[in-house]
Amino acid sequence: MGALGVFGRGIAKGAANAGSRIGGELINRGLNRQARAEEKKERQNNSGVDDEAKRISRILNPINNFRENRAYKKEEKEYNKQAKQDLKDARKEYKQDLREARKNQDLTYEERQDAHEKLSEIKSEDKDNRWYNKAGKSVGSKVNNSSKFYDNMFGSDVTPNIDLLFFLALAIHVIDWVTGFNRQSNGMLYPMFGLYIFLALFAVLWVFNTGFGRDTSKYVGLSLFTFFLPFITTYVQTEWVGGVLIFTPVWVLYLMLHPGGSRGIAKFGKWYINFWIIIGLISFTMNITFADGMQSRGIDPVGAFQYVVEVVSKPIKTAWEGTRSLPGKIELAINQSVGSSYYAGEVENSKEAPIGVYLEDIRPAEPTFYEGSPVTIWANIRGKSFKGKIIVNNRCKTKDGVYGTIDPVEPLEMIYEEQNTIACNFENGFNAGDQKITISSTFNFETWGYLTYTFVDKDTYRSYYSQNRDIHAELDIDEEVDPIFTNGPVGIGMLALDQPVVVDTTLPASNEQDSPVMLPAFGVTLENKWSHGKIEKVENFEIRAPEGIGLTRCDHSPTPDSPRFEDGFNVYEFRIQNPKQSFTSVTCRLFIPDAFRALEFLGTGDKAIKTFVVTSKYIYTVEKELTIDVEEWT
Amino acid sequence: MDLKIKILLVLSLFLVAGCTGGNNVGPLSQNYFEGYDGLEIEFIESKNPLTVYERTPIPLSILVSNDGALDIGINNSGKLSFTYDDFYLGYNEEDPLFNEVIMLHGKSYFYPEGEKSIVILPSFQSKVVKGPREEPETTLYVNLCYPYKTLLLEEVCIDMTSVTHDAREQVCAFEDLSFSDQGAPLAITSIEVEMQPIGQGVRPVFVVHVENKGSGALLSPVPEDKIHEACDVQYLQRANWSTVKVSAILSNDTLTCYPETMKLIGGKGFTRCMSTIPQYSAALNYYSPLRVQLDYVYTTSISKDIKIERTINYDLESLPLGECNYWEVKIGGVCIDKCSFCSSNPTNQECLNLNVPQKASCSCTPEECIINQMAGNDDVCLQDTSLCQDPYFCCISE
Repeated sequence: MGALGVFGRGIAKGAANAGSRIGGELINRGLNRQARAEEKKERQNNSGVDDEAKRISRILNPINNFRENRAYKKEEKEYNKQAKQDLKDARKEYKQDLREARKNQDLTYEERQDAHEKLSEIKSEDKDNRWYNKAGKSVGSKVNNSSKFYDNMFGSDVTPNIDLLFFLALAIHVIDWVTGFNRQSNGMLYPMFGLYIFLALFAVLWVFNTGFGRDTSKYVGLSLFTFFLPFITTYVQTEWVGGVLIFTPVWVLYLMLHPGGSRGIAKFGKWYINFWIIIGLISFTMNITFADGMQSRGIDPVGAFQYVVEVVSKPIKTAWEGTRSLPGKIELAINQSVGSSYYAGEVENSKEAPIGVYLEDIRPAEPTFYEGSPVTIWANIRGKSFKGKIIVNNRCKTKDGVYGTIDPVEPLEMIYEEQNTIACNFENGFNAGDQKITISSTFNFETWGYLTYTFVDKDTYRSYYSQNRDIHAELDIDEEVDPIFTNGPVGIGMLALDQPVVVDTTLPASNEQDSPVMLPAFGVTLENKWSHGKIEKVENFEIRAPEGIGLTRCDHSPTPDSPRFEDGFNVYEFRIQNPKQSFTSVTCRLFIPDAFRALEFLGTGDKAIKTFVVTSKYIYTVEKELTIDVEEWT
Repeated sequence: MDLKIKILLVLSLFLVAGCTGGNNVGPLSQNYFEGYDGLEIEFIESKNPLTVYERTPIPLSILVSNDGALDIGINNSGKLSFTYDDFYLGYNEEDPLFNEVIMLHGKSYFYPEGEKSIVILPSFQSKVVKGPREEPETTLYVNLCYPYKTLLLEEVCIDMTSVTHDAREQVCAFEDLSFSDQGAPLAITSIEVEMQPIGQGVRPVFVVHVENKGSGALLSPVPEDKIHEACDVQYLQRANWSTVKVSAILSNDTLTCYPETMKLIGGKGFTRCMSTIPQYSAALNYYSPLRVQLDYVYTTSISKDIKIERTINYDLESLPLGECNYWEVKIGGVCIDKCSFCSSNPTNQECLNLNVPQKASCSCTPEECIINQMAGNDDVCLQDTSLCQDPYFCCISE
């Protein structure tokens, strides 16, 4: 609060030391300001007595307290505004004077030095008085300013032991969380009840000292509410509730909102609230609702925490993934807009990944190559397959189409997981300049796709629907299916039909002919998944439909010998003509030959679970490039 | 005073902590017709998912308990069945150790908690999973189907007030009845009572409200003489699932219910039962016993996720590369390069979109192609590596 006074005194002192005409003017101005500042100080001192009375009154009377707080805030704001303006004016005037003095060369070197010191003093005092400096600058700093304002006016007003109470509340909450908000009679019911009552007693007797007043019941009520809150899980068992319990510690939140003058608690509270506002905004922006996670999985402390972590990380992750997958989405949109069928799939979470053939660590044999001298490039080749032997043909060439010799020249055979090193030699070397060298490996590989559908009888489906019962919940059927394909350079996507797939088993009347039972369409997409490679040739592409189901009306004709029956599957083979496109799709319609076989297919249970398998064997080329610098002989 | 408050509060803590509650009821006075359970099943193995190796048996057993009030005996036995994906799992349907039939006593004086039994499931085995899938997962569902009954015995007031106008004090007056459970998964939740005045007497009418409160689903009821095969015929009556047969007797009078077989919508339904005797007449109101019975076939199911651990089986045979190389096509049992073939057969399916010019062959080295390109003959070489054996390119022969 003494900023103006010090400022005034500083100016006056500086001006007196100067002793010149300008210095005299400065004295006058400084004295005037000093007089103004001291007058203000006196006014504040006088008003301080009244304010002390008001403070006591505020404590006694909550309504007055509220009103006066409001009045104080207003007064404080005006005061800060005025003080800020004064400081600004003083600084401006002083700078102006100094500038004029310099201009007129009226000041000696010492005088100028002294004036500079005074200006620095103004600036440093300005910094020291943060509350003062901040006034009027930021609305967000009101709370800080407010507490300092009261401190300056009336001395410290921090409720005793409130920090300890906050710490205790936090510790008890952590205990409650770690023990899973357990309220079982043979578990944490009584210990937690005891701890929360202890917290209330501590608050009543050692912190707020409220005796038998209304506030006592408030603190006891707060403890009881905190204690009974987890009973909500008896009725709502979701991780969402668990997350809410963890991140809304009632006592801690109460203390954050009523920090009792503790700056630490207030600051913590501010950060806590800001954190959740930011997360809330991100979640809202990303259109993620908490209700998505409402599944009855019970509550465990770790699970609930993980859920909240997931909720926090999901928007960020979604935003990142959305950005990353944008090119693919654009491609998909283009493909769909031109009428191509595209079916998505998900690569299996492979602990053996990466699978396929990888070129790694391509490096020149020497740091510098010279014109016309042999060039050798090394590369590590890694092959990994879960099944079968991979045969890899390697080659290397320059951008201009000059082929190098590969060592070893024979194709590499790789079983399960092997690593080898290949060398690419250009015996005649190159002319000076940059040379781009491409090493490519062509290998055979296969990808399998799997999709499991659940089939139900049409009558069963209609029966559930008409009775307003959720067939997914009652028959434990997932609403969506996830086509999965094995890891590798090529992906297999499949049409994820709505679950369950309904089968009409109505038997034909005696005078009717058997007709096939038609089912929804089944589609498969074969897609190149690696950006640094291409499918050279699709050797074999097969759809394996479970016994009892056939494919018909395909947009690509299966081979003439299809279907063949193999290991409980009807196998349909297709020839894929143009694998160099980014993807190729085959779409067919599923059918069961007649209603009797449909009945047989479904069996006597309420549902039938069947898996479709798609296999593709192909030749794939992966490439990697390296640019080397060839220098002239010197 | 502070100290007193502290002592008082601490004492109250101890008092609250010392509270216990509950009364034990002896078996004689226990009402067994309570609760919503019938036959209940649970896996003994608590692990979920269960991890098994390929081609290994999956030892699974379940605990079956009759938590309802009705005995499941030889004439109304339950039946276990399984739903699984035969791509991953299989089992020996003729397993002599497995008995699919379930017979258990319900809650009674002799079985206060109902009878329980452990059933060892037939030996399921994980199959060898085709293809290189690393961590196949599937689900095994165990279903238990059983015929069951819900019984309600209650006294109802035959209220003659509307026809007799007798001023004397009556022993009872008719009123709607409400219930919560009867020791069976299907519960009669309320009965609306009406006394329709007809001539000098009344005709009692009861609207019976039923609700499925159990954990399973209702199938289709079967006639009493076919109760022993109640579960076997269910797949033929899928359209009638979720229905229940209702019968009611008032004193010795068998009531007629409309509909007799009611369909539950959203797990709830009601039927209207009335006397076939035209009228009940008496000078004063009196109590009469009402017995309502629900006959139904119920099913409950549980599931176990099974994760199949692959046994790494090195398949040393190379993946088939096909009879011809990728730059070749097989014509008349002979592999020839695509460049030559497509040059003379541009309309063949193998050659579509390849645009191989006539008189082309795999005769150009990369250097020759570059020379041609530099000479301005861009069309001579096809920059497609899938037409010829590396390092040759498909080009127009001179």
